[in-house]
Amino acid sequence: MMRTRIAFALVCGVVLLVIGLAVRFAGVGTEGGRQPSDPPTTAGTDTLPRIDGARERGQAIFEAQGCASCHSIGAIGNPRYPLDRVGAKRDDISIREWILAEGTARDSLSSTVRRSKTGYREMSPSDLGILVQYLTTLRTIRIR
Amino acid sequence: MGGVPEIVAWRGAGVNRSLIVAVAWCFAYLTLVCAPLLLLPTDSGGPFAWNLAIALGYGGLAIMGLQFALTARFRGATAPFGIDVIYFFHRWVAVGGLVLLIGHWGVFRVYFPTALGVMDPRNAPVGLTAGRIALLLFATVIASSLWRKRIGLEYDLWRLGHIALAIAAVVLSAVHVRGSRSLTESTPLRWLWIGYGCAWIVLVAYVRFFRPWRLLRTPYRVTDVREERGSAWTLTLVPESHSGLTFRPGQFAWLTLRASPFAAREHPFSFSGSAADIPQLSFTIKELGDFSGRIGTVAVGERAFVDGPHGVFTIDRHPDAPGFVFVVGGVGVAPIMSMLRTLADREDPRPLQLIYANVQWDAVLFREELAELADRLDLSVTHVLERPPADWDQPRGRVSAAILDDAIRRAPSETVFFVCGPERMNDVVQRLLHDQDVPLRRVHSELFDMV
Repeated sequence: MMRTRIAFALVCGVVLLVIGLAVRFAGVGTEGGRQPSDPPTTAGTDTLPRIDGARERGQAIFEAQGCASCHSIGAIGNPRYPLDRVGAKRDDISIREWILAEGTARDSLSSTVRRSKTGYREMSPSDLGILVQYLTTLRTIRIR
Repeated sequence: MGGVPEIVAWRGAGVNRSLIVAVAWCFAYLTLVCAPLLLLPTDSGGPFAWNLAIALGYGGLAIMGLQFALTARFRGATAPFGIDVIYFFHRWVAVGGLVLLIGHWGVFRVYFPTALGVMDPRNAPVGLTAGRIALLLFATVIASSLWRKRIGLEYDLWRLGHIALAIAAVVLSAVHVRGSRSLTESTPLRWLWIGYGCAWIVLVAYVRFFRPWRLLRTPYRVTDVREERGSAWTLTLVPESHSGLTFRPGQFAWLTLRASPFAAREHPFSFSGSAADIPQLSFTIKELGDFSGRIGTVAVGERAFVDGPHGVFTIDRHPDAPGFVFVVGGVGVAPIMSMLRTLADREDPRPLQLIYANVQWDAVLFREELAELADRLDLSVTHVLERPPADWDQPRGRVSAAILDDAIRRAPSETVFFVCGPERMNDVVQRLLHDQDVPLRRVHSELFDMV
């Protein structure tokens, strides 16, 4: 019947409109012209030094803690806050403070971000140490 | 409800005004769906695929959140379209929304698998786990609606699950948006989502608490339970301590029996009585499903709750029609009986034709009353039987092109057609009418049994 045809056309229109706006936003907001056809990077594993397996553990902890929902390494993860050169900019003490939202880092973070970091305080000291050590090794940009 | 004043009033809210209101509601809907996408910060940076995934997620979530408004049965918003089509739209736009949400997850899965974190909820961030569960719940809600009968899910159980899972999915989606913090640092977007969240809570509270509470204050009492032909029953209700509702012949209501309005155990049925008989209401219900199969056990004196009227399947939307042709199958005669009884009470002189398809003569609902109505109205009734008795002299089999062609030839030009029967019959009849150059605008049908 006519009403269902119009309704189905509207459904298709709504979905296509959303996809169109999403593509438009993605195109406008894209940084550096990377397109979805570009192959995903592999976190620059070739350029990372091997430190007695700590890198792999560090990567595993980075993934398990969901750090990639806010940060990226090697273009994997949230690209708004890349950590590719964090090891060149901060020492291990500073990185630990930023992870835990403590010390001088605390004042630089919004209350929302501070709350989101409370989970890191429940990490075991060894995992936290490995994560910090891993981040200190990130000294080069690894986007291919 | 006397005839003429109401028809004039209905005409006052005529087609042109309905069209304007319909366009306005479509525009409002599109604005609400698109607003989160339009407010995304254009200087966010990041790869194309990352931004695309986020935008698809926001679009999909906006569609899913608005699903609650579509089924809130706001009469002002549904009237221009017909609530059956709103539910049709609700059903298919949910599939579209799910496709967008799967796209949201899929782009991350392909291009940024690390951002999804680990699957194990004990180690994964809460926001990401919430997003995963929400996606699964949305998929479950939609699959169980599309294939409820195939998987043997009882209607009342499905409905409760539908409501609970859909609410849980939207709440978890909100947790996901907040937890993932994707571009919500943008102040306008953050406030938009907060506004949507608050509006959604108010909507759910209205639909699940305020409206049932209002129904609870306007109960009806069953005054008659009459067995009809063909395993059907007619229930007559009268309002208790209130004036009752008015309706247009052909409209329907959600009926709650043996349950509180808060229990969400309500079922849609067409009014079968005359619209001039209010405040008394009649529903003719065939023993078909889980609920209707027990309809004959309802006793006089039981309490009922009626949410209505709803629907645009009514002759009162066509006061200028020179006549009507009704093509009916089985219990689909219920809303048509309401129309015919009302037309008789109004002493309407317009020519009417009823083509009434059934399997066998003994099961033809209201056949005696239809013969009486043919004397009171300019009504011709053509019975079509699949298994007719030996001496049958009317059409055999199913409604055919020849039967419709004869009806079209006898009807004045611009006659309006109402089709009401099983889904398969409705489709065939509408196609046959289309083949015989009857424009769709003059053919009206109502969608039943969508779940």
